[in-house]
Amino acid sequence: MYGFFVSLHGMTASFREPGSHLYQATLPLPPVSALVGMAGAALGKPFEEAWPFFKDAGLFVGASGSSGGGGIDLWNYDKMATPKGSEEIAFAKLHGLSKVVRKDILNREFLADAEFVAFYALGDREKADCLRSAFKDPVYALSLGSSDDIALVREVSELCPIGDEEESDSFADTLLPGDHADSVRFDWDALRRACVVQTLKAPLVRPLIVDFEFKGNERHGIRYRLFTFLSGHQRLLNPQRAFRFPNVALPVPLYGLENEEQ
Amino acid sequence: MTNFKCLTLTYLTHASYASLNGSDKEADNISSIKKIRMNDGLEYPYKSSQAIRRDLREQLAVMDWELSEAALAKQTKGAAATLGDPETYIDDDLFGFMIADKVTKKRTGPVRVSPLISLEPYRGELDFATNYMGVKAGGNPNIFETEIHSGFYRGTILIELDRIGVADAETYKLDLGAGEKKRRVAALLDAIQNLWGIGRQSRFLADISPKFVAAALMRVKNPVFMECVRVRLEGEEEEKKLGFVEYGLIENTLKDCEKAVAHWVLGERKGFFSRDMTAAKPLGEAFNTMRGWLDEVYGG
Repeated sequence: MYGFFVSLHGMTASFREPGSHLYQATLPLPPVSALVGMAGAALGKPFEEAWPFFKDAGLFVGASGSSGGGGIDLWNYDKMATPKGSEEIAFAKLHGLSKVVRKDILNREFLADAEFVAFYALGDREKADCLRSAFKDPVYALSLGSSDDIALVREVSELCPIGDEEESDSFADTLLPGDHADSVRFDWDALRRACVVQTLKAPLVRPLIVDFEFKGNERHGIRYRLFTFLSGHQRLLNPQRAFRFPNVALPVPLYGLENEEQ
Repeated sequence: MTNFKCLTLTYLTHASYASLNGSDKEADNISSIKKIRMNDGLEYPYKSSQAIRRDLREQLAVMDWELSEAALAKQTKGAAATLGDPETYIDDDLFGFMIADKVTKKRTGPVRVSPLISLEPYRGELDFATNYMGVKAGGNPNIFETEIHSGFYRGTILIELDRIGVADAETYKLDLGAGEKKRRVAALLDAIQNLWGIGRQSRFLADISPKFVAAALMRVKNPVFMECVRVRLEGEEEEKKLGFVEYGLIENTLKDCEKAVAHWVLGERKGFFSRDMTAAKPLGEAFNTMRGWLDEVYGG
């Protein structure tokens, strides 16, 4: 396979968990769908075109990184709602409406001062190079979640053969396919070597959408898979498959869009 | 259209006594401001990107541009969105829209707006007040407090010039001539130059118009100045109220991004910072320079 990585910085970033509504928690790293969305934006493809395109092409994605902080943003918004109560029902009847506009608020978590590395790999060298070039000169400005989470592209690495996958038990701040909550232990040696106070975070396991069904530009998740978000430097009791990228210290776990078993 | 892809600008402003953007209530009778909590425990106030976009819309309205959402009130079957008519309305063109329906009409806004984030932490200041409005009706005076903050704030705006006035889906019509595209981007630059917040201004009047700006006309879409406009505070602790903008970092950024940057300009309100920057033009001249770039982009 041929791969490259993109180093990104954002003043803010937010990756909404699927299914959240009035309280929108954020994932700590871009999920598979966001990584594909960014690649689509770079090529100028809307998500409903990008997903099948990259699935056919056999794209592999991965992510690592961390943020310097976060917050909970308050949104005041108008929502369409089924009329409730005598006042709304009377208003809807008067104007012949099936839905009415109702004021509501939602809370949206976001990450601040985010530093991410997005990894991409493809079997076809030409396609991989085309995607890499798109990240250097994207059709749509890249964003880290919502369109206002503007992304600064710090670096697009060279395209390189990333070799055969290997097994590793050492990972840091990364997105790992599967549920590894019970097999994670902190890398005490690395923590001792770091000589600085660090906050230890337990791994976060979340179901992420790994396939979509599209009806026009409407999309629905049709397949979910558990992923583990590792924060800090951690070791796994059971080594996992990962790839070596040039100039990246640790092996990178990748998820392949076309293959459920990756 | 040339190969100029975007205009990006990072700006600094200063709030002396402000409560820029209200947050969800954290404690009874305390009106909170939005804050980012960093991993070291310090909190930094910010004004959200949607609030800045609201301010920009209001500025466009002040400049006599009719807004899509203003027209919404005329509709008897008002939907919870703008009209989705970017051909007619500047705000639908610049900021995009989504009208969910059987066939969803959606435009990704070519203008990206970051939050305006304080460079200095929140130090716990509260404004104490008493509400006497209900006293004449027999009620008791109501004590309340409002979080306030003072310091420099930084924000970034990125304008995808090649997407202004151009449809990105077949569900709506948008095909503007070069002259109208230029007029709209110039209006946006005017709005940014005169940025004025509309929230909480009756009690906490704050001028958030840029006092320093680093802008570039880019060959690629990348907000190059996003993290490299910094203020160094000067003087003793109690005097650290104003500082100056560090040029070295900006200069290095420009060198690193030489191939991607077609033109650049720095502007500052002369005399505002503790030291003027030689490389920066007066703010008005800098914005005029940016308007001049539009001739190159869209034709004179």
